[in-house]
Amino acid sequence: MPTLLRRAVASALALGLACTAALAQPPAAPKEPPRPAPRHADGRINFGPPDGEVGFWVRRTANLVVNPDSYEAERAQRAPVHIKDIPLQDWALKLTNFRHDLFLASEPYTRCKPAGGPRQIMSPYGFEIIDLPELQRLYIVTTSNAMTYRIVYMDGREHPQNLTPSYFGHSVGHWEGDTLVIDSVGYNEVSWQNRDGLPTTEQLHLVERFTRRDMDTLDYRVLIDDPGAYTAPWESGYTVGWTPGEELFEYVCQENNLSPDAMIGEGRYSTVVP
Amino acid sequence: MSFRAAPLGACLALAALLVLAVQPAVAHHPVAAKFDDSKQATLSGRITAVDWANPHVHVFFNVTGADGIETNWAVELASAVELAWSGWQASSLKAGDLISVSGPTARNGSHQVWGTRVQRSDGSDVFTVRDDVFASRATPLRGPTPRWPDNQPRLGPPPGETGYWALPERTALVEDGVSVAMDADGLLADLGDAGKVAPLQPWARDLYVLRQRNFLKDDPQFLNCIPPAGPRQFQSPFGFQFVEERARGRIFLLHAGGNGNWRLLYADGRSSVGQVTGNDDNPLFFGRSLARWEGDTLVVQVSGFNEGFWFSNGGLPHTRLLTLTERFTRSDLGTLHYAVTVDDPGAYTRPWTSSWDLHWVAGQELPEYYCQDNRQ
Repeated sequence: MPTLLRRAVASALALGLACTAALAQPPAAPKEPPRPAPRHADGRINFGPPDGEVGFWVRRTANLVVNPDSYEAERAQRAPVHIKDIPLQDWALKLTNFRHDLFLASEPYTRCKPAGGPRQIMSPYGFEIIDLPELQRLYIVTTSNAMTYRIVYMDGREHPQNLTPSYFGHSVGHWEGDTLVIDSVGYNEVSWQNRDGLPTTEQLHLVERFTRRDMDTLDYRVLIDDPGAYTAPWESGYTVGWTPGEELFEYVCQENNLSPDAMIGEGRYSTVVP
Repeated sequence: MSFRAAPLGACLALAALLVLAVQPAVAHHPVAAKFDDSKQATLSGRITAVDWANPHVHVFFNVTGADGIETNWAVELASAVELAWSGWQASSLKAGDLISVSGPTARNGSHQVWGTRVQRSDGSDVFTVRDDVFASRATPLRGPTPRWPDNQPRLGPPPGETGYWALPERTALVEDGVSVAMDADGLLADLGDAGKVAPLQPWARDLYVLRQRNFLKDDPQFLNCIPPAGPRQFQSPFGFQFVEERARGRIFLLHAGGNGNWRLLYADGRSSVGQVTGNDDNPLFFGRSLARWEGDTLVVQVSGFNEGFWFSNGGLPHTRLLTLTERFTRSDLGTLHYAVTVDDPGAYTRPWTSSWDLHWVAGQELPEYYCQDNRQ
């Protein structure tokens, strides 16, 4: 496909994603200050709706890093970290650049692969945190991407040795005041940590911090500690917004999934005039 | 937690598990569609790559033919989950190793072989799957049904424990009371039995027979990782789990087969649509599920299905008119009885019911298995 055409496709794709994100944004904040974060009877933060209500979480900012060279640059500007400040090892920088040279066409998310860590939290159609203290665990359940779930053990266990690398790894959580802290290891190397194609290795160790600042806002911070791909740990995050009145819905990525063809394949755009 | 021992029950459960154990270990993809049992081969060569991914692990190796020309063959094996449960790791074989492989080769003549047996150059077996790979995970359990403080049965683990449901005693829909011979993929031993499996309308019977004649190769789950929805959720060897969120009147069904999807059952008394995208214009794979308790049985009415998936192993057809009434009864600690009434005036002449038991796999988590893992 000619370069110009590929750029046109990439731009159209970026616009489409931006539109999707715009549609997924919660309505404008009301004039009055938001309600305080709801709590369960025992005082701990409730990441779900207050009694009698429904809702779920959708990210408001969508990338871990500012990358002016990305075709998603405009969206990425809202990220808290500049890509030049990411302590990428040389090979990881080259791989990231290579992925950008291909307009991120090798994106695993597009291929319905499950996405763990920060990528799960930037799910465009929302997620819920199902807190089950009796079972001493949480589930993080997402609609988009693979429409799947992730377990967080809250029973004080440690990570097992010799984990088989997997999409969601092994997550253990605890509370630090009103902040839920989740520590994870055991990831495979398939997923990208964000849409900029940042690579990680099986040495990846994530520390995620979830703070429900008020009824409407969840602050998500993540420490990415991977001595296989970075020269130092680094931290970033998203702001996630409460979408009241909505419920999780069925999203089967594989249904008529032509995205890899449509986004990167040869031929499907043969009738498009650049 | 104390379990009441019941030797007879335990023996019966063990017998059931032994019956399961003799079924083929590969129960998720119709191997028969791709590989021809009458075309067996034994090939030797040096490994070029090991692709340790679900749904099926592949090993690639170079085989030198009689003409001296080297050809790269693909060895297809069971899932990474089954291999791992049989004691293997991705590193058990590596590029450069010499192996010998026996098994049926591809129907289409391509350089692919289903690895019935893989041996290292020293003659030791590797990447074998134990016959009882699923059954061996479960310990036969008898004990009272665990309950919530208000006496309602718990569908998930008792407090402080883990576990999930698996080991279905039936892996393809057949109307209760009908006896026909079929394998774990739902392939009939005798195609002449097709009309007995369920009260099929003539067109649906013909389609069912066509799918069977093709060894189920058109299965959308096999082709495109489309979810195994409907009763097929409860035919998977990888199992499922209930997460009861009682305060909100919701029950999540978490699946380990397919793509690890979840399904929501609404037990909050709502009568309208359950999931926001489910309507006549946008029918669903998992449908809209309204649940209520009738005594100790969870009764779930499901409607709003699309026609993009097969709702059973074996390829029985359904239409958008399908409604299901599912009944889940945890009759004791280790047993879940599933009964489904299929009402589809588009494909069947009358409503009909199929039912089977599933068993509790105690102390373990659902395996992480994604059909999508190995799709490029």
